Amino acid sequence: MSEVPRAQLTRPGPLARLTEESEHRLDVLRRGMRRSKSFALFVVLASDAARAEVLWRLREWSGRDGVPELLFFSWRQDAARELDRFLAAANRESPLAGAVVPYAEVLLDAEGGRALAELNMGRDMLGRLITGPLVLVVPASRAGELARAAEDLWDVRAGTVVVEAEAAADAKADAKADAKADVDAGVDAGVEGQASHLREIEASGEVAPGALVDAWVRIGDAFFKATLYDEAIHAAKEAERLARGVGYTGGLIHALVLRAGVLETTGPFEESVRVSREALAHSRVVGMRGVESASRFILARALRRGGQSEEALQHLDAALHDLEGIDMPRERAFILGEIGDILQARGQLDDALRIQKEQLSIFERIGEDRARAMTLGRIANILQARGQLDDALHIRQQEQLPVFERLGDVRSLLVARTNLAQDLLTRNAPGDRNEAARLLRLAHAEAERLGLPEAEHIRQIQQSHNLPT
Amino acid sequence: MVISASMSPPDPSRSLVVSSRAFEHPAKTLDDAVRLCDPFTPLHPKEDEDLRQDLQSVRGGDRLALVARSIRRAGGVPTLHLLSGHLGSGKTTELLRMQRRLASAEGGGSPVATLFLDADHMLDRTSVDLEDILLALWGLVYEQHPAAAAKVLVPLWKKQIGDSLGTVVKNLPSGIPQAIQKALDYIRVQGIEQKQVVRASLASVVPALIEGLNQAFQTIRETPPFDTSEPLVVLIDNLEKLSEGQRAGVERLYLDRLVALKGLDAHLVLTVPLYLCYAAAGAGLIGLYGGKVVVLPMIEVSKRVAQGGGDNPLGLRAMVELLQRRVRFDLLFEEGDQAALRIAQASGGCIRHALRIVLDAVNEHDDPPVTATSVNRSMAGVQADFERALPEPYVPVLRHVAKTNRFPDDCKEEVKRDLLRHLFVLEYQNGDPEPWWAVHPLVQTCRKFREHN
Repeated sequence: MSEVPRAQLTRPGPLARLTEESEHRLDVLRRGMRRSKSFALFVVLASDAARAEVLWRLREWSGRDGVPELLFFSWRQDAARELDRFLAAANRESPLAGAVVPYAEVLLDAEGGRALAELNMGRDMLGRLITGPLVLVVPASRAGELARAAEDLWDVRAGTVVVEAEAAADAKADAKADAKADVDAGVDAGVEGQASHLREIEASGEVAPGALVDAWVRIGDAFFKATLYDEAIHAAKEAERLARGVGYTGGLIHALVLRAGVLETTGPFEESVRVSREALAHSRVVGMRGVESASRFILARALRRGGQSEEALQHLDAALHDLEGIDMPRERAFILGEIGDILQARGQLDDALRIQKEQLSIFERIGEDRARAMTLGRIANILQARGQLDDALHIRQQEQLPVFERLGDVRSLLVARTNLAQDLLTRNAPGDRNEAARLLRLAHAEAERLGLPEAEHIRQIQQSHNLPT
Repeated sequence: MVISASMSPPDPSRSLVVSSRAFEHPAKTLDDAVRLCDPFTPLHPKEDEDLRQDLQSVRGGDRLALVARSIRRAGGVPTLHLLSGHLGSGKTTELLRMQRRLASAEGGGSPVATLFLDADHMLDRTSVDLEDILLALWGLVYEQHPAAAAKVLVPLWKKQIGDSLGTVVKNLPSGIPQAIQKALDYIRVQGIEQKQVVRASLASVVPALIEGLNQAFQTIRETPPFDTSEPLVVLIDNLEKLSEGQRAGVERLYLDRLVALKGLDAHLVLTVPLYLCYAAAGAGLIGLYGGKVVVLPMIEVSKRVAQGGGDNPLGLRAMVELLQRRVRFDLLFEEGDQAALRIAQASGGCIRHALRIVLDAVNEHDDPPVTATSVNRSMAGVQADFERALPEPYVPVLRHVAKTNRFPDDCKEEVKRDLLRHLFVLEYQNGDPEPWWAVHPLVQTCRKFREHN
């Protein structure tokens, strides 16, 4: 699926509404492209809908108002081969007036970054091959890699332009809010209101489709966290519909990953596997390793749920491999956690413990308190399985619970209290039973209040140990 | 894949002469300002003389003029100079200028024959070895001195080299320049194993390759206008740009293999990675080569902490004048020449950064004046690049450098290399025997630097 159709096409409106700062930066870029009478490298940092919008703009500028005619390299993995052919066969008698590499990270990822190394090595020749602007578009998260892989080219760039969509700017604020206080309400009227508002906006035709895709995915995520699974699926499907309609492949992949994630929770797991495989297929075509890694991760979780641990492990290993050389520690940590869970289920406790500790160190390094606390819980589970009950109890009581209490993460807290209670019941030292009963009462009350499925599970634990509910 | 099939080295000016792109210089229009502040193209040694600023007094003298003088005064004894410096410090520009000075007999004496090898153009920088360099030099002799090549290289090739190479490079052309190009291309595109096979074949004939070059050099020097009393000068540029992941390969090349180049009957000027000059491995460079390391430092726009810190007026003035040669700040900028001063301060003496700041600020506007706000935004853009790239573990080292103008004693070499390579730390040396270091001014404004505990 082409994100920027090459045929003459009527643009369906803007793909993203960009921030004011981004619009300003694009003005600067356009002036720079118009004024350069010799080779000039511009690096545009943009992803998702914002990237799609930038690419549309570049097509619109090409050959007009002083901006030279721009050759667009492929956005797929064959961009690397195209660039190779260009550098080899470039006619210095008729150099290019300008060029764009729409997904420059493909040059990093394909064949170990060989194409980018060649471009870097041929830096001195570029002035004869391209007599105007060369624009490399890459996500901001990959900018550091690009700089290191093509140091000399990076050094001589004429400018770096950061472009963000308004939705993306909002999402950053949302992400910060999430980190501080996770969803603790089973029903979030605000999210439902947003969904309703989004339908009105779409009907008005005022907002760029790409931004709508991103917004539906965000809303779907919020529904998912709020355990409103039907609403989450609906939001994901809305996002998919819009993304397919405008050729926004990145958004489509995110929507598919969201739907696969919900299905992995609710079942049927076969559907989750099918949707994950579709997401993976799209991300492989696009050639973006980070996205491919995420798709594999979701697929692996679905496979594991269905009892296909072996294939799940293969995908997790591949997902880790996809992330090599990419600075995405959080994603790497989550993959490790999943691997650790599989190994633990297989009884390979030493290996599981080693991997979970590696996961823990990553979360500590990047300051993700909640994820760190979750990992501590996994470690406690392994220690408990190894018979190191006191160590497990210590971790849950002293290191894990305080974090969830501080974050106000009610759901994680009640799960942690339940696990702690079970360990206490296992140890059965003086006072343990009373403490376990207290913890289970607290957990059950919260779970009931929030309407969580854990409530029934806790009740069963209480009954099986003859504890008051 | 071959980037360039041509044996001809690129016109060293790389493309159009910078000054010829603009209607006039210094620029009186924003369009011309953009064209003259090109961070990509080095100045042409002759055509861009007007744009060139004399930086001797703020870079510890004209170091390459000293090299040229040293070459002329060596009494025919081949010398070796290792040239290093930050990216963007103007090495290529100064090297080309020195080549021109030697070839034109500037400063007295006869013209000196030179061979300029641009490693970036001719070799596979991800994997370079001695054999590649020798073969490329053969190619240059064919290109630039065909008569000498015909006289001395052909017999040697036929007798010793061609057959050996022909067993490992398929379909080796019978024409020698074409065969050399094919062999170099073969080395560039093939995998590691194949490269090693070709190099092993060439290694067996390294003495012949060197002998051939020496005979060719002799013949060239005997040809007017050159003087037989003066050895030929071989300049190898961009050799220092070996990829960081190849560190072991870099040290092997410089410390083990390139010593064989001393067998050439020529003055050698080779570029070398800056970090190697300071690494423990680099201390062996002088011992091995018996030559001299020449470092092109940044323009000293600030003073050491021990000297009270703050601006170095001489360095700043030089930077400002450098910018004023390209742009009429008084006409185009709201702040006038004050903008040039602020840009010079923010650049830390890095010419390329200064040019980029001007470029970006100018492109904020369709028409003059370029406002102070635009200059600030442009500086913020360069700062944002640093912010994105700066690894937090490096910040304590940077703080030490900021405080003492030197690296911590226990600073790992790879950290030092990284900090210098990516211009987080800038090196200065102005007249003193020892260099000193400072954190780039725009790194000091980064949040990571300011907020680190």
